[in-house]
Amino acid sequence: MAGLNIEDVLFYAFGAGTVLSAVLVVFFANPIYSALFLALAMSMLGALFFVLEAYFISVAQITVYAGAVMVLFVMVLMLFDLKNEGEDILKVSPLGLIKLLAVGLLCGFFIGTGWVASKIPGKVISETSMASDQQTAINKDVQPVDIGSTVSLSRQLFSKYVFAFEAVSILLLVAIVGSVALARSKGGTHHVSR
Amino acid sequence: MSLDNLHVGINHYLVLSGILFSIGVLGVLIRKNAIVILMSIELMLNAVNLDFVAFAKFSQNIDGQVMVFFVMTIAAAEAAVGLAIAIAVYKRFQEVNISRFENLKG
Repeated sequence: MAGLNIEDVLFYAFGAGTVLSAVLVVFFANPIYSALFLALAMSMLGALFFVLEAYFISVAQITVYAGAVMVLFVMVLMLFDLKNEGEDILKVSPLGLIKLLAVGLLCGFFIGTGWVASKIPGKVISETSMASDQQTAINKDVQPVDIGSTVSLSRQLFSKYVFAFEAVSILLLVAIVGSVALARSKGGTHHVSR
Repeated sequence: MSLDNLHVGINHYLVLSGILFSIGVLGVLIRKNAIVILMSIELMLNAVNLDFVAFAKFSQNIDGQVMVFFVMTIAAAEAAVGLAIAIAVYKRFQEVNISRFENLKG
């Protein structure tokens, strides 16, 4: 198993790109740059989904997130006049240091857990070992499916998860009505005469 | 460190997702602009999506991808409502600083 294959190279390239864009989202003072780098991070995550053989999810990620949601963000930013938004992100304060420390600790826990898990002998979770675990699983109603195909995804969506699917449609209706009602209200949530 | 360790397994995806989630948490904690906070929340949701897809691939079970579908839908609805609230706050205070949100009441 010497040498990296193409999936490993793609993982490291897109993974590094995603992390870099995510850091830039947080540390750019101007929100419009944050939005653009968030779109970049979403697109690279879409590429990672492609590497993971989730083709439908990958395309949905790029159209829904990098397309629709980001257009929504940029439109709202255009509505605001945020030129005087001189936010001092890198200002050193005791509270800021505590926040940074806490997040660093959380990140360290994630990395440490992954590192420890990769060290446990005989428990290496690979594609083949987990798949063979599933063959012998007691839960026999889980059929081995082709995870790359949209057919098997939609079959699950419209049989096992059909109630959740319908519930999501109701949620979307509520969100549409709620956002229109919120955005139309005069002077925000307060009754002020202008 | 041998090259075998660099071979990508599920641990690599989980660590990447954890790093992305931590960056999202950092954004929510240190930023004052409500729009950027919403963006950081999107980042955290995407980190979780990466976890779901990685588990779907490595366990050859498509249910994870169905969950990602639902998370995406709900994240889009959440972004729409959050941005509508941000517009309402901007109309009232002419800025979207998060400290203005404490004045939200009926």
